[in-house]
Order: sequence, then structure tokens, then C-alpha cells
Amino acid sequence: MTDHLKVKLSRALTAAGIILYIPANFLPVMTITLTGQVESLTVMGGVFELYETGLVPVAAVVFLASVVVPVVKLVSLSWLLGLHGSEVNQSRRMKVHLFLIRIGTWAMVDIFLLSILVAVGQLGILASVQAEAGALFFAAMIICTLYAADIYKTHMIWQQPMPNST
Amino acid sequence: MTNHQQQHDHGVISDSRKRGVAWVLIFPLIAALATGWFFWTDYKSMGPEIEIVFDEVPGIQAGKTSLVYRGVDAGTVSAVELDENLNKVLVKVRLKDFAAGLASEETDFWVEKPVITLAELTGLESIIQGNSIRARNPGGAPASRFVGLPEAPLMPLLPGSFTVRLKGAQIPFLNRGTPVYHRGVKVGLIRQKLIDKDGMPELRIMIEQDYRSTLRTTSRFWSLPATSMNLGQHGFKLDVQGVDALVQGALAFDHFDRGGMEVSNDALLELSATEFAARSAGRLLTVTFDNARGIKPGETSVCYLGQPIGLVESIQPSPSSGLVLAAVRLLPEYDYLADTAASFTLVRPNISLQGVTGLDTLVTGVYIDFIPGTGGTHTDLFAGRSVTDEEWGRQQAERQGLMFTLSAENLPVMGKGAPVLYKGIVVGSILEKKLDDREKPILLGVIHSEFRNALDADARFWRVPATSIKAGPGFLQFDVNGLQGLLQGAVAFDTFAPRVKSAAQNSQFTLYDDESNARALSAPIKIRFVNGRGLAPGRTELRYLGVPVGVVDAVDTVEGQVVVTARLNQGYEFLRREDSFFSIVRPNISLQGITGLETLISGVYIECTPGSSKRLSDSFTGRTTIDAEEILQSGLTLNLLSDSTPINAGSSVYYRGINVGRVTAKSLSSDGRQIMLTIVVEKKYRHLVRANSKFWDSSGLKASMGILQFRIQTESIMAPDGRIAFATPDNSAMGSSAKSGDSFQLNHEPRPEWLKWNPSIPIGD
Repeated sequence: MTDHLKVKLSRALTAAGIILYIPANFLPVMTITLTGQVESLTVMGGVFELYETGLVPVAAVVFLASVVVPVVKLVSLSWLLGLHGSEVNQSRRMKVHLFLIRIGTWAMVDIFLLSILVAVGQLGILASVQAEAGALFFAAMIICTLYAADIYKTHMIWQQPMPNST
Repeated sequence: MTNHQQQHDHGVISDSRKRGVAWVLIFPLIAALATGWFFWTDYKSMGPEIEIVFDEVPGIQAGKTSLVYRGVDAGTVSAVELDENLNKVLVKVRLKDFAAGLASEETDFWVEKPVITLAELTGLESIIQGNSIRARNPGGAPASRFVGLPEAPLMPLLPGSFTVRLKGAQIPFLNRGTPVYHRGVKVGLIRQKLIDKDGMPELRIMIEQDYRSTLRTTSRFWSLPATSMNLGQHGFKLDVQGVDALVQGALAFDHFDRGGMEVSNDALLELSATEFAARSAGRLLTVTFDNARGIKPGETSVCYLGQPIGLVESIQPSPSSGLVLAAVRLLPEYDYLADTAASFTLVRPNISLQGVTGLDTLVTGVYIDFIPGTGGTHTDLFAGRSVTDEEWGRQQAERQGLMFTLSAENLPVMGKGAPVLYKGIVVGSILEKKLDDREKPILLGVIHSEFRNALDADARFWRVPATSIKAGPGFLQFDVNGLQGLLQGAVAFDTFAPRVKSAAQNSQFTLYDDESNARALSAPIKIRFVNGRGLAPGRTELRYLGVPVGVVDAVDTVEGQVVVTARLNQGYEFLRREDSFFSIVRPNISLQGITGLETLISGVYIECTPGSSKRLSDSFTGRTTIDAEEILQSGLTLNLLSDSTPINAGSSVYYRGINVGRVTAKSLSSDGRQIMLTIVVEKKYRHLVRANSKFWDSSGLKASMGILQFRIQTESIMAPDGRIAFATPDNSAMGSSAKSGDSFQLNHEPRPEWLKWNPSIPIGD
């Protein structure tokens, strides 16, 4: 695979991530049925729910991992890939890229949390947690950003831009 | 890189770039397709939004509460708002696509919430899962605005149940949800209890479709009491129809196999108060009564041979005729009995201090006795009669028992219903107490049919007093004849002899005051006595050889004498012989002996001694055996004079040791110088007293001491009052017989020669 293809693939994945970001955030990721009260939570809703329950640190972590990180990643990736081949801010872009790869794993926190909740939170009629379509989109979005960041290697930032047709 | 190379390279790269671009675009494409497809299906699954108006929606939350139809989540509440007047709640529900059919005109919506009462326990899942909005019964044109039901329907899934309406005068203890039974099977529920536009209570009843055929036009409904109490001869019985019925009652219906067709939906049927009322669905008969006191519509039953066969349905005074019209229905199977010859009689209980008759009517109230006709033409209008239970009982008894009449001089404490006893067994009762044509009280009684042989034509009746206290010398008798007897007395009878023939219907008898009188069969005899001391009417007995043979009926005084009226028992007629004699036996205690000691306890009695004559008599002269006054009165009265004497009245007078008289008085002589003792010598001994007779005081312990003799006359020990003895000289010197009023000197002691006198004097009258 040529670097060129990698860039293209990375760009395509980023684009897919951006598209997936919309249903991932607008569709509920899970449905909590607690004593008959059915509640479908989106990612943001989950954060609010945690916050309102008083679990502020957890809410902060989830907020960071599930809301901030994907946005940061998508924006950063778009920025990196958009500036691919140019010589602007090359060293800063390298730092951003390294940072992206480092925080990339955190993005899956929400999915882990959800899978644990779904597995544990089956108390029959009293309480149950079900994963919803939003989680699928969310996971897909995270996977896209993960691969996008992974495929786009740091050294490519320093590559000369392809002599495009004038 | 050369320009050519560049050109060449450019071309290659350009190719590879184009190819790469086409390949990688698949990722965003899939993402976009997936997202788009998802949003599309999500949009497609959204049904129409409907708006439901409720009075209140406890526990309903926008975005959380579901709309449930047949247990399936069919939509979600999207908004909960109040209307502008703050009177109603608007609930907006986003239906799911598959449930879009619920947005139709006939759909019922209600808020399902837990209902926990004694009678009902529903919506349990709502406790755990929270309240929800429920829907049922979709159908009709599409609609988007609904009015919710105020409360959950009883059978959410049976919209097509079959409904009938019930009407009754009053419908107590029945409520929404009360079960409806048909022969013990629950076939429906009361859906609604309301007042119709005529102001009458009405029940709407839902019968499950499966059981629709059980309901026919002839069916009658009645309310099952939650509990029924039965108090009767068999004890106390309590029926509880089950716990749910205990709380909310129940309805039952049955057609009692009377045919009829299936009823149509929403038909109007009748509700009866009891099962019996429901059964009594015969022809409507009208019975007129002068006075309907005690008749209770729906409760008073019509009895035939003691068995209820009908019920008074309603009662209405008719001012125009001055009568009370009772609407009566019989059980249909007895309808044919109601013909022109039939009669209705209102029977009332009678409660008095003298007794309670017809205790059952006390509990059940009055009833109407029905006597069927014998096949006249059918009619619907009857003239009823009213009688008390007793009259009725008499009429009944006349049919079954043996009637008799008792006449008496007076009838104290003798009530209607007093028992008639035969050898202590109640064999009948007194039905009536009234005056006959001659204003003498008579009693009408009846002997129950099973005892009718006990009443002989010669039977004798006597009164058993409620309580009696008899007291006399030596006896006190207190009789209480049971509580019933205490209240109303009783009548007893017996034949006292082998029975000859049974009494005929309506025989007449005399009622005696007591058993002794009744036993004394013959006409009373009259015995004259000088002194009636100790004689108690009705108590003092006549005895023959110590055996009671009769009783003293009355003790009267006639012309200074006591006349005792007595009766002799059957079998002792021989005591009526004209030369029989009767004597009063009284206790006598003296130093000479104790006689008649038994009379101390039993009182005096009259000893009878039969004569030998063939002729009978009713009138006798009696005598007193110990009290010889009568005898003495006819005797010889003499006066004895003495300076002083210890002898008192009552002392005896002796002749040769034989008691021949008595000292009747002790007084001063007319000149006051001497003591005068009046003595009476018995008539038959009168001739012993002669002009020359000598009287001396022989009382006391006298000891005469001589040189050769020591004599003690001990005879006087027997007579502490002292005794007088007399002697008469031998025939030549005795003189003439003494006359009453003659006076003699009373010597202190006899001269020895007096004791040797030995005259010969005939004794007797």
C-alpha cells in the first residue's frame, strides 16, 4: 500500500467517521428500564444522567472519552489530512498526531461501559439495560477514527506534497 | 525526474490515484447508507401523533411513558400539557407505525394505574413498571384527538362483551366489578351502577360472550347476600359465599328452566331481592286485605302447607276501597292453584306475656297462608283475610286435632296457648279464652291429633296453677310448674279410671280448680262439725283406714256450726251410707298419750267410718274424737264448791278411774266466798251422779303415812292439772239423779268408806 493510498484511505475513514458521528450522537446508545421507566439515552444524555445522579467524575470521564475525544479526533484528523502535503505547522501536526494515537484507545470507554452495563444490568422486571443502534454507530465511528489515525503515519506529515496537476 | 518522466509519472500516478479514490470511498458510502437507512426506518416506524384528553394523568411522563395495547409497546408519550383553562391534560402520544390503527375513533384510552381495594386488585404491574396509557377496542374512522376514559375498564380485552341492563327498586351492596354468577359459575361482571333518567338505579352487566346463551328472556337476577344467617331448629348456620362475595356481594341469575329466548344486547331485565323472589315469577295476583300490618314487600311469603310458594311483591293501600292491595306472585308451577275458590289468609304472630306462639313468624314475620281452590276458574283478584296466628292455629288445629270446650266459674291466670297436660305430657293447648252465651268463661282447647285417644269422654280437667302456695297447719306447699306454666298456667286432665270411649270432637268438660277436686267424682257431701279448727279447704283429706279417699272442698259456718263440704273419690261411694260417721282427727298430746301425731305434720284430717245402711246420704254429722266438747255439751253440768283448790279448768272428772267428764270452768261462787268449778259429765254417765254423790280432789301426790302403811297415790301424776273423782253411795242411799246446775261440795280427800261404795247404776242415755 502506497503512502498515497494510505492517505486516501485515512481520509475516507475520517469522512465515514464524520458521517457516523451524526447517528452516533442523535440515536440512543442504550435503553435503561428501571422499575418500568423506560429511558433511552444518547451519549450526551448518558453523561447528563451520570452528572445528575451525582457521579461527576465518571460523567467527566465519559464526557471526555465519548464526546470530546471523538470530536477532537475527527476535527484533528480532518485538519491533519486536510493539510497533508503542505509544510504548514508540520511539527505541531506531528505532536497532534501522536496525541491522537495516544488518546485513541480512550474513545472506546463508552462502549466498554455499555457492554458491562448491558451484561450486568439484567435484573428482570426491575431493571434492564439494552444497547441501542446508536451504540453500533458510535462504535463504528470510533473504529473509523482509530483506523484513520493509525493508517496515517506520522512520517507522512513530513512527505512532500504530490506534484498535482497545476 | 525528467519532464517526460514527469509526464509519464504523472499519468501513472494519476491513474493510481483515480483507482484508489474509487476504492476507499466505499467507507464513507457505507457509513452514509447505514445512517440514512437507519434514520429512514426510524422515521418510517413513527406512526401518527395523537392527542388524548384526560382529567388527570398521574405518573405519565413525556418521553418515558409508553402506550400499551394488548401488552405491546405501541407508542410513546411525546408531550404532556395542560389545556388553556388548566382543566384538562393533553397527552400527546407518538404511535408506532404498526399501531397506527389505534388512531381511530372508537379506541378507548385510559391511564392504567394500580387499584388495590378489598374488592379489586388490578394493575399490579403498574406498581413496578409505573403507570402507562392503555388502549383497546380500535375501530372506526381515523382520528387524532381522543377523550380518555376516567378509569380502567373491567375487561380491557373483551370489548365485545354482551351487556344487559338490570332494574330494581334498590340495588344495595353491589358495585362495579361485582361478579355475576350463573349456577355458581362466574359469567360476567357489573360494569356500571348508575341512576337512570327515571331516577331508578340501574346496573349494567357484562356477560362474557361464551356464556351469552345462559341468559334468556325468562332469566331473573337476584343479589346473593354476602353472608346469610340461618337461625332455626337445626342450630345456627352461617353461609359465606366466598371472600370476594363477602366484600362486594354478588349477583346471580337463572332461568329456572322456564324456557325463553336469548336476550338481545342491552336488554332490560329485572333484579329481584332474593333468589326466592326471583323464582316467584308467576302470574301477578292481587289480594286485598283490610289491614296489611306486618306485610313487607319482597319478604312476606305465601305459604301453602307451610311451604313458601310465593311472595308479596308490592303493597299499596287503595283509599277508594279502603283496602290494601297486595301484589302477589306465586312460583309459576303453583299458578294453577290460584282459582276462584282459593283463599289467602294473613297470619300474624302473637306475642304476649302469656307466651309466644308461632316463634317462626317472629323471625320470618307474618306470612300469608294459601289454601288452594278445587278447580274453579282462574282469577287474579282475591279477598284476603287476616287472622292472628292463634286463630289460624285453631283453624288448623280444627282440621287436625280434637277440639274441646272447658267451662269454669272463673279462669285466673290462664292464657291462650297454655299447654294441656296429660300425665305431665303436653298433648294440646288452649286456643282461646272467652265468655260463652251465659257469660261464663270457657276455654277452647285442642288435643293434638296424635294424642286424641288420650282424651276420654269421662276425662276430668283441672287447672294447674302457675304458682301455688298452700299453707295450713303443718304444711306449706309451693308449686311452680315450669316457666311456661308460671306465665300462663296450664290445664291437665286425666280419666282416673279405665277409659271407656274416646271423647268426641267439641266435647264439653268442666274445669276443676285442682286435681283433688277433679278426682273427687261424686257429688259433694256435707258434714257438720262443732268446731272446724284446722280444716283447710282443698287440703284437708278424708281418710278411710288411713288412706286418703277424698278432700275437703269448702268449710263454711252455718247456724253456728261448721259445715264441711267434701268430695269422695271414685270407689269410695260406700262411705256415703247414711249411718257413716266422720270425725276430725287432731293431734292430742297429753300425759295419757299422744294421738294423731301424724296430723302434726299433715294437718288435721277427717276419718271416715262407713256405716252399714243401704241408704246413701249427702249430709252427715261429724264428731271430734279427742275434743269431746260436742259430747260434753250434751252432758250434765254441775257446780263444785270448794274453799280452795288447785284444780283448773280442763281437768278431768273420774269415776272409778274412768274419765267421765271435765272441768270446764273455774270461777268464784256468786257470794264470792268459795271457788266454783263447773264440770260436765258425759251424757251417758250422767246417771252416775246422784244427789248423795261425793266429789273429792284426787290430784297431786298424796302420801299418807301411818304406822303400818305408806301409800302413795300416783294416779294423779298423769294429771298435772289435777283431777276430780267422785263416788256414789250404794243403791239404797244414792238418792235421785243429779240435774244440771246442781251443786256439790268438793272435798279435799275422800273418806275411806266412799271408796268402798259400789252402787249398780245403768249406764247410757
